[in-house]
Amino acid sequence: MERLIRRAYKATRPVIGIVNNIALVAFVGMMFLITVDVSLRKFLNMPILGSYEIVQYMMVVAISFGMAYCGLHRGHIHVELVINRLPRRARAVLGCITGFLSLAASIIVVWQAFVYVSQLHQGGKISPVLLIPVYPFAGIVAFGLALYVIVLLINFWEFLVEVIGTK
Amino acid sequence: MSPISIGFAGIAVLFLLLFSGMPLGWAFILVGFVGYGLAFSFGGALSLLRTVPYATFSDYGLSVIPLFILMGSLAFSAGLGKDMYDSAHGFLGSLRGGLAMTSVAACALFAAMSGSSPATAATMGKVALPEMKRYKYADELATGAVAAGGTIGILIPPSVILIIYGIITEQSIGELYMAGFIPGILQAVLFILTIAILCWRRPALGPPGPRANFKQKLVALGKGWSMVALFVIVLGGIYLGVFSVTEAAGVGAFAAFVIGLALRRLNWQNFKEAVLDTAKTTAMIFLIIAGAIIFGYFLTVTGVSDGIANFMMGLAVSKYVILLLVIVIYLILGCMMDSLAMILITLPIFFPLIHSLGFDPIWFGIIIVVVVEMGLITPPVGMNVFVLKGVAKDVPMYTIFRGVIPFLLADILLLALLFVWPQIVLFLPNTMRLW
Repeated sequence: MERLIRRAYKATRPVIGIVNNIALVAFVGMMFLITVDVSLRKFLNMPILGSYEIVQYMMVVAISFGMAYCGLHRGHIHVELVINRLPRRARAVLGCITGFLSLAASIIVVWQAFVYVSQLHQGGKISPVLLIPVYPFAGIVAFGLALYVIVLLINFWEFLVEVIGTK
Repeated sequence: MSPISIGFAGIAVLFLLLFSGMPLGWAFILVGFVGYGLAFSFGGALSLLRTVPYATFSDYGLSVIPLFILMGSLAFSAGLGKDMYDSAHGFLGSLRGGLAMTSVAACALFAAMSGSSPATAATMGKVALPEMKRYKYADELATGAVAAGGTIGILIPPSVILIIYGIITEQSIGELYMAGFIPGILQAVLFILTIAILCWRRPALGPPGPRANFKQKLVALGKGWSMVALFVIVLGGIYLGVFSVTEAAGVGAFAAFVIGLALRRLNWQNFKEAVLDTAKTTAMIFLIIAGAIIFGYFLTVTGVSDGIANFMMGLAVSKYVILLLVIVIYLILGCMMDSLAMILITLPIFFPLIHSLGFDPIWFGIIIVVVVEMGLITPPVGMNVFVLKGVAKDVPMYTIFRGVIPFLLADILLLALLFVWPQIVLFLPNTMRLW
């Protein structure tokens, strides 16, 4: 089991790095797009058609693809007030429980995110101005969160190993 | 079990999970999902999980958050914090306690570029603490001034907390930004007066620095141009209705980028770091927002918010007593948990109550931000104090906490002023409505 998880982690890490780089490009893209759009609108009265939608889609990419990287670097907020005062083993046990609960919640979210992709695909939902299909971007959300699930699985596994190891 | 009991049980479980160290976003999602399922239906709960993440990540109104974070990160990477410090130094440095006053003024100036208090404290800590050490300032005044000064970061716009407040309570972010401006300046003035009083009573706390001549003052003034430029573009643009808050955020980030390039301080490495930092913070915030929305649906369906509002309004006490009670709850929670978490958990519960009591929602937003600021410097979880401890590793945590006490008193005075004269908050948003 451990070998399987380690292998999944090894295979996922570069993917998380790549998608995170795509997220960075999307952030910078949003900044440039808004500036160009505002400038064109104010000075030449020529706004970029559908800029609103493009910003929305860029934001989906930027956030979803940065999610796993944030998890990998322990960037997600948690309250440390109590757990920092506990002995190591108690901390590991709590980490194991909360890690399992986070993993369970994330798996349900990812499952539903993929169901949503299928619903949007079947419903043929498109954006109102540029007529871009919505489902690929819902797919990006599902994929980004799925990568995060693997990070949560590793975190849970590490706590579990610590609990078993400190018996 | 009645829905309202499930609602209260859900809040208790949420706190239990949070204090057990569960990541905030997942705790919100799990409790919201299970609670909604038990109180209403699991079909509906699954539907929430299906739609809320995509709807949140693609919400155009929320794009203002990453863009303002990017602006602050780029300003930090371009070393604009040091410029703000140098600029204030020329005018205040020679006074008794002047370097501490400089730190507070520079925090207020840098706050106009950054929407985060810990980021402001970290930036100024790195610049101001070595300087104050050189001039033999007492550690408690040096660290206390920077930790407290840093809190101004979320009151003077742009402010991430105000954006979140605006989104959750459906208030205009532009008006909230304008509302935070004068109280932010007032807070900086109160902090500077606090330092003056402290150093007047105990001159050894902050010996005067070198006196600047007219030319040096002029040079110092010149260093503040980048702040003035960003300030005019972002706040001027919003105030005059030239562009929306989201557009202001995008253009502001671009302007910070151009300023960094013009000053030749932004290279590929620190530019990438700034964007990376933005990506990490944004992902963290958006998972929490998505979770808070799901949790909010759960609270609504169980009727907890209305229940609390009805109960409190049924009490035979003045509405100001109820408001004071709410503020005390915020202060206690602020000592124990992260500001973002606190805002997102409590607003759906308390905002309907405050609204039905007839308090102005914009005014309440600013009051809450001041209270959150106090939470950032009160033990045991004072985020800014932890940040400062990271910068000044040789100063004990106890010394920093002792150093912030006089500034906490100044914050209480500020709250009292905002209570007595709400116009301090509402003047700018009211004139904005006239445009």
